[in-house]
Amino acid sequence: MLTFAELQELVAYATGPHASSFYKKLYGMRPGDEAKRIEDDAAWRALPQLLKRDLLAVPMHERAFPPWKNVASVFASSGTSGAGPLFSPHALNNGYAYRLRFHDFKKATLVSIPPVAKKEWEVRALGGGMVVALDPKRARASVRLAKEAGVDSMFVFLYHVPLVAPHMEEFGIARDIRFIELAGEPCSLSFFRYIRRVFPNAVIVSEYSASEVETLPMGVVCRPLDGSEPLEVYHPHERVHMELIDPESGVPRAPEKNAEGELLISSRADSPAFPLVRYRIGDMVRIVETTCAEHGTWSFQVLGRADMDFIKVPGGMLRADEIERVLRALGESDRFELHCADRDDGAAPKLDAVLDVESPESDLETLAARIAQSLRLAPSYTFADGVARGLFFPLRCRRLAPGTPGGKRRRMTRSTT
Amino acid sequence: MEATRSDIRYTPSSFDADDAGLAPVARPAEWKWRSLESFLRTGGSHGLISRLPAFWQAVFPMHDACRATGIPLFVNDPENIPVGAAALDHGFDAVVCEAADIPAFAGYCTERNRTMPKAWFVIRRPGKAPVAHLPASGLVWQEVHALPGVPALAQCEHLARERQRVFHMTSESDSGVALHADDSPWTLPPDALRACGTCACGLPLVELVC
Repeated sequence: MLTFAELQELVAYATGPHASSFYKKLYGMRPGDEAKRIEDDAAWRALPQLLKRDLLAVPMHERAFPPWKNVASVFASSGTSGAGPLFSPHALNNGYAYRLRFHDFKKATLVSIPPVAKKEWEVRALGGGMVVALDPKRARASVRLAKEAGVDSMFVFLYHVPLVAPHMEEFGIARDIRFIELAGEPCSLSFFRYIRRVFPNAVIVSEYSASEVETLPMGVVCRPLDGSEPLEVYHPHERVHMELIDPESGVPRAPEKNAEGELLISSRADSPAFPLVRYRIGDMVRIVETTCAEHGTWSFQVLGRADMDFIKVPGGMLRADEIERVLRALGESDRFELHCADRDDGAAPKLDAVLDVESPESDLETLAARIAQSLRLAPSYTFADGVARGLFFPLRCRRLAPGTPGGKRRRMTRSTT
Repeated sequence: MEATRSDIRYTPSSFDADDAGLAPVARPAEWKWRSLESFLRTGGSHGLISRLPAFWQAVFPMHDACRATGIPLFVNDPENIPVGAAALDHGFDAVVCEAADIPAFAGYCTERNRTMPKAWFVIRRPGKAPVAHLPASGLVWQEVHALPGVPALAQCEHLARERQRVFHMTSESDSGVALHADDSPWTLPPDALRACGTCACGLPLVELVC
């Protein structure tokens, strides 16, 4: 993790004369003020926590740190409910040297994790070979190209694995895959077993990343996934600083064994397009070890979103505001709880979604079918489309159980067992 | 001698991902998309939105062109028009897309009173009719690709500003591109082109005959 001296440099850089005005405004500074200097940990913790809505309020080209030519790639991620996407600028930087522990990348790598062109740059920086872009909508053709390239490794989103696995088996190359790096969502045990079954000779690791964070990955895997729990254990990358906070109050928590909390992320790349200072990433984690034997810092597992209002699924996203819209359009109450899990249907794990609704009179099976037909996961893709494509089990509805008086109901949950 | 894997990139042999004969075509990894670089410099672009299918593998030379010109690249899933349109409010003002994509994307921006791109890099497939309706405003730079991401016919700044429907031959169309003796170099059928004079830039002009 970043040292305190590096945090001092980060704050000075973020508020210095060559920075964009973003952090100066956030900290109530005037344009001509000298760069902010923090003297101790208390001063660091007194800095305002950066929220997604703070980033969304400023267009990317006004937020980015000059020079503009340093911005190599841009990520778009979901905004908060009802808001547009968040665009995050990234300069070229490489935090993936650790991959050489697991693989040499001399052959070809199939990639779906953006930015794909940067993945080629990263692989070549490691002395590796060719990179082939996976087009999820043309998976078979992409795998065919990758086969000809001699692919033996993949960097893919978790939910892309079922798209490529059947074609790799078809082309007889699944057993040639020696390394798989997963991203996007926590991997459930059933999903891991599926991947292990299809790719028996692959080292399987996860990366903990977020599109807002320029210094990727944020979390480096402590060990490959091997079926033992917890599956995915990370330690903070040396170029980030992580803090644990109470998700309700924002008060810091000590990273003690089994402590749970939300993460604050700080990071700065060399010549960054946008450094992060105390950003609430929105993820809940549990501390696994206070001192990882190999890496000397605390390790953690990702539990899920702190205030989940969307879940990534194959082909798009299940969004809370979209579920509300559909329920209202069908004349139903828009209070709900959505529970998602991966369920093995004998082939690949499929999304199993159960929607708890307040519908005292409706036939729940009919309601579920109507919701599935209207519920958009992407501009031209509904839940019913996903079922028809064999990616999801049919949506089920149940009656919403009474909530705890005065308690907070978590609206969307995803099981990782 | 076969090139090392890091020296080549693959391009699909067809625009159709379902083509039964689909095969990879090896190209030098060092190949530069010069026409795209010229477009980015000429248009004074600040950010490029790519709306090309990932299957094309064109993202790699596109990234190189953007790095050479100091312009960021945003890769937009062609089916996610709203996010691509949103990028136009965040410093992006140029789009690279297929000709068939123009009505949908431009139409979306118009219907929702969104910012329009100020520069378009439009790719046309051989055998397809000329672009019926170019965007109403902005710089429009057209080229014809023999294979996904492989320009056969390109334009210069003069042709783009005049919105001409004629082209210059590229080096790929002259000599084909191949690294291996058993790869068939791509060529245009001899009757697909018609010479039509000389451009103001001094290069010969050709018209693609459909």
